[in-house]
Amino acid sequence: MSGRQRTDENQGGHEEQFLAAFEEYSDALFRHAYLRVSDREQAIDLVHDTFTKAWSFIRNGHEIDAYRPFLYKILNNKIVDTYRRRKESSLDAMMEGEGVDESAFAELSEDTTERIAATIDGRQAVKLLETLPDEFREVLVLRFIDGLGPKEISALTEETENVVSVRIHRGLKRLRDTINAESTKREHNRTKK
Amino acid sequence: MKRFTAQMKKSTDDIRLKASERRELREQLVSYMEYHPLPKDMRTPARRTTRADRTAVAAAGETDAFTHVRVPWLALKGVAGFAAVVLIVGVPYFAEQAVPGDALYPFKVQVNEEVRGSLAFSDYDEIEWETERLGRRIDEARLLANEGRLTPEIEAEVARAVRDHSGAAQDAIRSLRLQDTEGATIAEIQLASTLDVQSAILRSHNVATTTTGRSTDAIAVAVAEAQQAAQNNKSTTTIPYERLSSRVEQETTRAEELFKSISEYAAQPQVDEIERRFDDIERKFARAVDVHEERPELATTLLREILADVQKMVVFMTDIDVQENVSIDTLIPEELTDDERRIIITEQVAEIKAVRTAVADELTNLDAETQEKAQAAFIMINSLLEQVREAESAGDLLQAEQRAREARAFADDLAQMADTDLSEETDPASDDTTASSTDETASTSPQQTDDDGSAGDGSGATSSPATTTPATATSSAPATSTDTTGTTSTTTSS
Repeated sequence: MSGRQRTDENQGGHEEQFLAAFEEYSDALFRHAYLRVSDREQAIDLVHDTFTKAWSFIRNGHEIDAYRPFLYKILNNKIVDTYRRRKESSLDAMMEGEGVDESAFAELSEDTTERIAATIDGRQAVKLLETLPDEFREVLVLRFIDGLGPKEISALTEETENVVSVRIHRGLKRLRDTINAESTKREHNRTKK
Repeated sequence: MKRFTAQMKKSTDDIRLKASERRELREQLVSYMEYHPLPKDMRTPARRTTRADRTAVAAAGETDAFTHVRVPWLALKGVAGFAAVVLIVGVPYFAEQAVPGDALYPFKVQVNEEVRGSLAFSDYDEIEWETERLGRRIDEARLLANEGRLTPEIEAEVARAVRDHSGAAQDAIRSLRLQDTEGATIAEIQLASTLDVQSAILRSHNVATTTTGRSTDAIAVAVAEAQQAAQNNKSTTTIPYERLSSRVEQETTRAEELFKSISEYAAQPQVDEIERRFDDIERKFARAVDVHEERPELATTLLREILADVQKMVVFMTDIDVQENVSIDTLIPEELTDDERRIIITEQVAEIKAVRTAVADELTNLDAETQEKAQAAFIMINSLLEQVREAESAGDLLQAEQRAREARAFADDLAQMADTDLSEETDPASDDTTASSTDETASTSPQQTDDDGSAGDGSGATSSPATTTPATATSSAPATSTDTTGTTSTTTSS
């Protein structure tokens, strides 16, 4: 979309293009951030920091071919940093550690993921995103909200496509299990009366 | 999966920035862009501003001298290290030897700074914004606390945010130190100053700390921890004068621009106070420039102080809340001008002499022991007054002020002593003395000025002797001496 920007004719371009990118992507970035950190203020901060960092890159001569993946990458790194930092100082780290490395899984077909997704109510899934560790949230939001393909997610998260697919699948599975557990509980409470 | 995807998308449709949030965000970005403008060759012509009245660098890339130097940024890009600068035709070499005032000086600071800056840009910017983020979180918490809505949960979250942001800032400083030790040291000063301001604010705020919804204790603790960590991590790098002074120029300019924009709607007394601080800074800076050759360490210390003060001013100006809760005097005490100092010294000396005279007059009424002590005090006072006079004529007002303060302390002790002695003799008369505690050495106690400077008329009268308790270190004028035989003097501090 946006081509090379460092040509002389485009001298007036940098600021305008940058702000245009803000207009176009700030909402989507905010949405992504919010679904990841579940905190409005923090999400706004993350978006702010993403854009200021992007501006720093521009100032230093970095050429931006396409704003969207560029911004997403910065945002994602910042979110991961936030979680990483928190992990170092909290007991949650013990609970979040999965210990199971997705790369050990065999190739996953798109079918399997399709099938499980079909059994889940999207609305409930969104509500329960909060209950998932961030590594699952990351891929699920990127895939189903931001609409990124497996290749793009792979590039962004710097994991292999297979790892990404497996993680999506496991994430969906968790969501489904949680949904089922909740509805079972509700059933149980209802029948108790 | 289409249905699933569609459902997910639909239920997140309403997660978006509010119009006000968006606007605010955009404004912040625009102002960020203004503070970090594009380098010359990337910029659109309309944005350039000139600073003809500044000899050193103001904001990045905006000096006249610099506009005549073509900096091949494209060549610099991608070439790591300071060496890149040297590769370019001759100019940097000569610039390296430039000192303030030379035509090439801005080039030296500008290019070298920019090169170093571009290598470490992410760290430097990050420090700045983590610091700002930290401040914002605390501000919000204070707002909530004022309304009694700061729940322990939110408080804990904010405390955690303080730790996160200051930790991130520290990380960035550490990382920056590897490439640019001086820049890191400057960043340390700014971080420490910001924390100082926040700490002062929290201290002033923590009134009813036990009331639920209002306590900010946990946050204050987090800030204190952050300060401690900053202290522990402090590097001892000495920053070269030019670098520091150019940095001071930059920061001061920013602060002045900020001031211009807020002075329209800020309250007049605050505007005056801030202007006063700017004047103080100008004077300090001039002093630093004067002494930097013979006394480089003093110059460095002064510049570092200025940097810290400017940072505090910026925080003060950008945060209306801060302005309402903390007087700028708490953050940055006023620096007296020479004239002001002279006036203060003259007043002090007059008072001291008055006490001396008054006691001397009563000397014969004192008992032997007290007389001896008085004589000793006279000697001390006279010697100190002499030193004050010398220092004043030599132009060393700090010294003069110091000596005057010491003499004052002696005079007060003397007055107190004489007082006690004399009231003992006048027996059952209970003296009512009102001692006013002054918090500046400048102000005089009401009694003294009333009595035209003379100490209490001790000859049997029950007039209130002048016992003042200025906040000087050596002052040992306690409230009453209840061990005087028979008499009880009550001192009420107002």
